[in-house]
Amino acid sequence: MTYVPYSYKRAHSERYIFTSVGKRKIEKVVDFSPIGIKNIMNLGFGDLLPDGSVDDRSNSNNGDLVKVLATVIGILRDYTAEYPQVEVFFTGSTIERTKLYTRILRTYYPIFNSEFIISALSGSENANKRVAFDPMADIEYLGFLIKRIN
Amino acid sequence: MPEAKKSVAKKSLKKRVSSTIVVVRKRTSANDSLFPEKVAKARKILSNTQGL
Repeated sequence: MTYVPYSYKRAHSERYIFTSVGKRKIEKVVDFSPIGIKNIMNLGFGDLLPDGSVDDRSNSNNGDLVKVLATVIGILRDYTAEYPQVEVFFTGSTIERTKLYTRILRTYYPIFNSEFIISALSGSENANKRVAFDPMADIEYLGFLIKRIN
Repeated sequence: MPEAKKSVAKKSLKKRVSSTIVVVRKRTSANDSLFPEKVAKARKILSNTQGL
C-alpha cells in the first residue's frame, strides 16, 4: 500500500482519530477495545458523527478509500509496535464489509504478510476455527486476527 | 466500640468495597468501546473458536 496515509492523532492509548478529505471532510475513528480474552483487542473503525456517536455501517464514498485504509494500517502498525503481544481482531459490520476486508487483505497480502501474522476465522459464529489466511482460497471468512511479527 | 456500631461500620465498609469493584469493572467493560456491537460480535465469534 504505497498511498501516503492521513496524519492521525491519538485521542488516548486505545483511540485514534483522523480526517478523510475527499468530496467531504469526514472524521474517522479507530478504536481498540478489550473483548475479555487475554491479549486480544477488537478493532472498531467508523465515522465520528458531530454528536459524538459513531457510524460503522455507512459507505462514505469519499473517493479516498485506499488512503483511508493506508491510514488504518499505519494506526495498526503504531498500536502493535507499542503492544506487540496483542492480537487485533476485526470483522465487518456486515457480510459485505467483511468480504471487502477479505479482498483488501488478498490484494495487499505480500505487504501485510511481511509485517503481520494474519489468521482468519472460518465457520459460523457459533462454531469456527482459526486458520492461516490464504489469499488464494475462496472462503467466506468471519473475521481476522492480526499479530505483529516481532 | 459497641457491637451495634461495629456492625454499621462493617456494612459501610462493605458498601464502599462493592462500589469500588463496580467502578473497576466499568473501566474494562465493552460498554466503554465506541463500537459495543462489534465488541459483542467479536466476543461471540472468538468464544466459539476452536483451540483459541
